[in-house]
Amino acid sequence: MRKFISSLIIAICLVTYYCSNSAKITEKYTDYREKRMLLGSDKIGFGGLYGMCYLTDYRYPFSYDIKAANDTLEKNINLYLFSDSYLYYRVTSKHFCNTNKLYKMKWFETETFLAQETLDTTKKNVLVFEMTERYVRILLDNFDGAANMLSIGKKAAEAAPNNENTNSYNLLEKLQSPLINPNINSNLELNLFDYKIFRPLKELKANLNYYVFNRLNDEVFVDTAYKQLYYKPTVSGEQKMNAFYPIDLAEFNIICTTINKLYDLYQSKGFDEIYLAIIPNPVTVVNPNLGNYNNLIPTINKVDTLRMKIIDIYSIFKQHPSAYYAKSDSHWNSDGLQLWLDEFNKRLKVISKQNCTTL
Amino acid sequence: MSFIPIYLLILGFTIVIDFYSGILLEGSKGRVRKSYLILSLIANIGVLAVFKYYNFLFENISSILFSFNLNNPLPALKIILPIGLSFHTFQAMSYTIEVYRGHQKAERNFGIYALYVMFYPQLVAGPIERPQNLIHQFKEEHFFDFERFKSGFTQMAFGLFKKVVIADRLSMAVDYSYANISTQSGLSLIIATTFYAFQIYCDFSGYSDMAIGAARIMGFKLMDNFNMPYFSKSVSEFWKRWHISLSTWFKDYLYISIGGNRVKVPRWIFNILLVFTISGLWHGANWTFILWGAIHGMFLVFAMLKNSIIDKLKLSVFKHRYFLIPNMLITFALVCFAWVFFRATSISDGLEVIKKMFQFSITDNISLYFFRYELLFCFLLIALLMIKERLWLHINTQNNSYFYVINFIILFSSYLFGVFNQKQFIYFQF
Repeated sequence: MRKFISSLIIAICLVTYYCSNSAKITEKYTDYREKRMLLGSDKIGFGGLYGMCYLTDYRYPFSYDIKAANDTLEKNINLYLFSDSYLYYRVTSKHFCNTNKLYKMKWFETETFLAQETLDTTKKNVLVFEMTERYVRILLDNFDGAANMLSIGKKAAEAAPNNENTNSYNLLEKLQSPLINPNINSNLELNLFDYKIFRPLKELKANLNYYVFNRLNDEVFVDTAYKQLYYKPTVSGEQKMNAFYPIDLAEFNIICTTINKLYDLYQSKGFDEIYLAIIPNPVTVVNPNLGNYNNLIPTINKVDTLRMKIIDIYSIFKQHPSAYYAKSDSHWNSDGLQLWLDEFNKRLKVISKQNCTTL
Repeated sequence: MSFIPIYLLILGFTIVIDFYSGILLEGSKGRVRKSYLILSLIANIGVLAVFKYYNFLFENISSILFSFNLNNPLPALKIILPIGLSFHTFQAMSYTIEVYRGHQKAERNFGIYALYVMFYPQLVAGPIERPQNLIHQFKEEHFFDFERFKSGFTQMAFGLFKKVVIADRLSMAVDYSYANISTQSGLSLIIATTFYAFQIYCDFSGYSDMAIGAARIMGFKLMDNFNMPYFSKSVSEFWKRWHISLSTWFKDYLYISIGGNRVKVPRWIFNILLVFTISGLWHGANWTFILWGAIHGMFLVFAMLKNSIIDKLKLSVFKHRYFLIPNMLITFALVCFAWVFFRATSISDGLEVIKKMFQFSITDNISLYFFRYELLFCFLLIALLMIKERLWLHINTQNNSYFYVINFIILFSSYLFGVFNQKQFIYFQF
């Protein structure tokens, strides 16, 4: 009996270690748990910021429920989307009007980069640069990075990045990787403790720390006036994500020049339409009085020398400031995303119609 | 400091060298025997010298040569200090020295010897064991014993509490204060340094508790590493209660070897200063650690001189029990004074802290990155530590429900009040 119990304990430990060491297994197990009552996650479903701070007062249900677009004509658009987490994980081609194919690339994540021999000229090729306000000053500091996300041309297609070759694993890292995953701590935490049953405990600890010691996760900011959580770097600190961190004219000019350079680059590759969509930080819309807003978005929207077409969501969001952002997540909610899609689909319908007329 | 699997080869290297050195030592006599010992020590100290001290030496040589407008001909090495290197190297050295002295038989089973160096609970931060205490335990059969489990588990739980609840919370104030010395008041720095004394104690003794407790659950008895050091009435007593496995290592293998106190007074003073300076260097390749060790050496020399004066003048009044608490407080203050250099990133920073501490005023502003009741909470934790530290010792005299309740309280409060900021144990860097 003693041997059996010992063996069982060792086996459980080994299985836990093996599963947590494997990113794939952890991911699959997390997906599997999502719909299970007892095994369900204690943070998924309430927003990423809640999952970082576990404050009971800020536990709001959070999920996306967006409609498929109504195709009005034939699918005659190929849509290329440079995006961040606001769109990348949330949309598919069915959400875009008259869209034949959707190519998604995530900013600077090389495994999502694309290389094509030519653009399909039988379709309208539309390119969208979508970025959250908090990334504008970081992304547009790096023209080369943005220019390499999508390569068009025979040579480019032949030299398409091959993950196996481009990963700069040396022999030592290869030997170590099956034994020690650098994310093993967070994977173990996820696999062992991310269950609904632990939520009361986590909330108790979080509430105690916040209400007694005024301590909170370093990346979360609480807006008590609007009962909303923000991603802290967008609200405070001396960094470019902060909506209140001043922007000078020189930096602003660099941003505009980079946008124009990107336009010229991708237009020369054959794109018919190129759009820029800057999604405001939640704090910019909901509570800009928390500091002196640097007016990044309104200023860019007013620049008449920009050659990219702008999808201006900022002025629409400002009409109902607290309606479009999740209160416990750093992203927009379904209504915000839907509103943006509706705005963009209006443009796609026009493009699609023009294409039909042309053809 | 990091764990890199390839660095296991270093461990393998010292194990192989010392295993065969032990066998060869036992089978030889005279000069040959001594040369085997020296070879083994050179191999061990050589590993330490390359991985821990090379860059320190390189930087110092470079700055000396730079002052003469000369370049350093030595190459700079990109080396990460392997985790726990000083601990297992010293443990390995104690084996060959004990075999040389004839106190320990050479181990013929390679697996058992490797286990002696790599025994997991104490591999990375001690206690630095002696072969006489540990090797024979690996040859004995061990059975599960619930009484042993109870005390081992409770000691582990209490070690965890000391680390995550006390040490890591105090570290928030200490780190902030020592990172902003120029803006800190004297009073803030005094509190921060006092907190550091308890932080490093809870951090290190917490690890030792977990190591000793884990070993005890499996049936192994490791030596005690701490014995409530802040209750010491003198600095020499402090060193009998602080990091006992290291201080006895230096005493047994270095201090006594160079003559100890069986020499003339000037040489005795030299021996003390040398041992403590080397002990400082053992902690880290930085002048701050060397100075920390030297300060403790000087404290001991002054204490020695003071005691001889008291004895000569027959001032026995100073040994009266009324002086018990003042002596404890003075010892604690001296130890804290030395901790300043242990914690500071440079000697100039340390001197700045000392200067500000001596200029303190009771009305100084306290700004320690603590909010609301956190400062008060920290003082309460320290008080709890001083009163209840040895709680686990009595666990076996109580019934099982006491064990369950106490451990539930310790573990639950570790979770509730613990600071989980992935802060590593301080002594892992040594």
